Amino acid sequence: MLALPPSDPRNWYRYALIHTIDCPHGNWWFLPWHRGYVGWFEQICRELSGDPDFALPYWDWTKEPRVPKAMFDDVLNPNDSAFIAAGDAFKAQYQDAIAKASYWATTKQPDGSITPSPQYNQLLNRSIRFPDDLWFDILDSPAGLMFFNRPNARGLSAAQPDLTIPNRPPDQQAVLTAVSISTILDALAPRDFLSFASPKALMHSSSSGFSVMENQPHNLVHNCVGGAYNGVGGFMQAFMSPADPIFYLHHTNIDRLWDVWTRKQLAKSYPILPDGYPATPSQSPKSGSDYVKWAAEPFLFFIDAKGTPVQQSTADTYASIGAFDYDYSPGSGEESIPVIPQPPLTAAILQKPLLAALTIQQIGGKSITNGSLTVPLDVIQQQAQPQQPTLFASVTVDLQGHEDLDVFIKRADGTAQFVATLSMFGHHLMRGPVTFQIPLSAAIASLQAKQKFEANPTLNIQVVPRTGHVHAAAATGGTSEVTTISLQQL
Amino acid sequence: MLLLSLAAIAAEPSDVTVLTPPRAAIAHEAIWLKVTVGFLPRSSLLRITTDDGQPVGTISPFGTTPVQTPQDYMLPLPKSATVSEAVRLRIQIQEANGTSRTPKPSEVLGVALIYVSVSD
Repeated sequence: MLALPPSDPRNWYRYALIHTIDCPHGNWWFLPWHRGYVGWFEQICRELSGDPDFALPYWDWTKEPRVPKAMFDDVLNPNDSAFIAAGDAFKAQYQDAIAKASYWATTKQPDGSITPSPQYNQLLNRSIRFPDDLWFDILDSPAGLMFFNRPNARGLSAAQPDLTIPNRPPDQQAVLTAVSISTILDALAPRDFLSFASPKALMHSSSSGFSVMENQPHNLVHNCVGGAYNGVGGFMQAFMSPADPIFYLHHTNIDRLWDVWTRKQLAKSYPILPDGYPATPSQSPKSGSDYVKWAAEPFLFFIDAKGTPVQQSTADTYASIGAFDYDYSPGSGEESIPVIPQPPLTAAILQKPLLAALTIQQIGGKSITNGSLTVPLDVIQQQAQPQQPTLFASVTVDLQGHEDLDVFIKRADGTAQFVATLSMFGHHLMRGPVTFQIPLSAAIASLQAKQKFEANPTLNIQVVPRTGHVHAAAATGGTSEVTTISLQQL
Repeated sequence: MLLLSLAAIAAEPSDVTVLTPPRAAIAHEAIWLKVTVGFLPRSSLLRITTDDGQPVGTISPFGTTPVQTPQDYMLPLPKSATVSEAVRLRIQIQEANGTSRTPKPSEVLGVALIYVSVSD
């Protein structure tokens, strides 16, 4: 790939630039995009090496918290003379090929307006308007460069390969903590895709938050190998990180851990993808579900083994290993998978969410929403048992400002059992419908301690504006309205 | 991730942040930390410990860009971090030169406890 001309999209640096201009971080497409990126890289390696059995290894940093020795040999080391020595030489060699890349395409409409290609549209979402914007980000950005000149192309060396931060005591070795088995098991623990894989975002170029898997081992290994903590510098600390071959071994381990988590989820009969995914290939995904939104996100920059654009490339293409047809030998984290698969739950399952009948009360100037619904007794009783699906209330609020709402369940004696406070956090859009999911297990346990449920109980859920917690933004808007309350199991 | 139900944030004497979970975690649930981070310079580390020095986690953004929107970082919270029904935290920025300082308001926008549904 290093020997291919810059005009070939399989060229080493051209392939690294796909990551630079298209990588998702801090959102729920982080895992599938990188599976596609690394999977197609493996296909290209097979094609160019002539070895159809070539398989990328993974770097299990939990077992080996240092850059593997072999990664300092020859072209596995980005400081090798086969790599471009400096950023200015890189620009000189590549600016023509980048300027001619197909992703800048536009179409001039009859009315004179310009329509960007879908790829160009995605670049514009990243404020990359033309090649000079990209070169600025790579070579001149005050936030930090992306190209690192030899001999600073990698921050760790054969003499000091450890994932340690210089001059810090053992209890401040953050990278070693991030790759420790304790952190990895925590990262694998969530029972839902979003908590494991990073949260939702509008598109894969935007960031909203980072799961433990992404913000701990992923980020800190990148930055440590990229010399962010020892002042050396290195490609791995920024978005041209695939210029360092160890990028692929790092991301195969992240991908392996996604596979471990998926097998753990299957063994425990937990969900493996965002809500609404089809349980069998013959089923259709649930219309309007999280899964449908996640699955449809287009990844437009991947190329195949021949260097031609990948045609079918949306997030769902990479929901499983699928056509890449690789697997992993066991590594760290396997212990999270139960040895004996647990059978699917046969206990009480709600076939569909229970929708509450809503009534509104005006009390003391507050608009209080009451939701009433009858729940099967066995669903209530199993909340205290292990391995049972948890009962959640979904409360949809048409927000008219930044207003906190308290959720209660009314007890039989008329008093209220507190459940949760619904509160927007950070710089979110403060208007429009937002659905909050609230676990009810603890509240139901408290209720059961004080009253015995018989037959199928009716739960009365109250949503009450919280006095003194109306934020400034609410003052200019109306009152937030609860539009639906439902119960479901997750 | 289960949702919000949070917690009074009280700034104690100086640099200690106290979070009070409204209830204990139930079976198959863990209390984690959600830290909302603004712009952090590349190479800096945001280090979080309990007030008696027990490490909770370190945040280090990857691939920083000139414009950074606020982002949430989840960190597992050791069970031992909850003492007398409260979590007392110290949050420090560790600069690339090794010095530590209190974060600016633009660097740490919020800290909250969240309930995460977890397997055994």
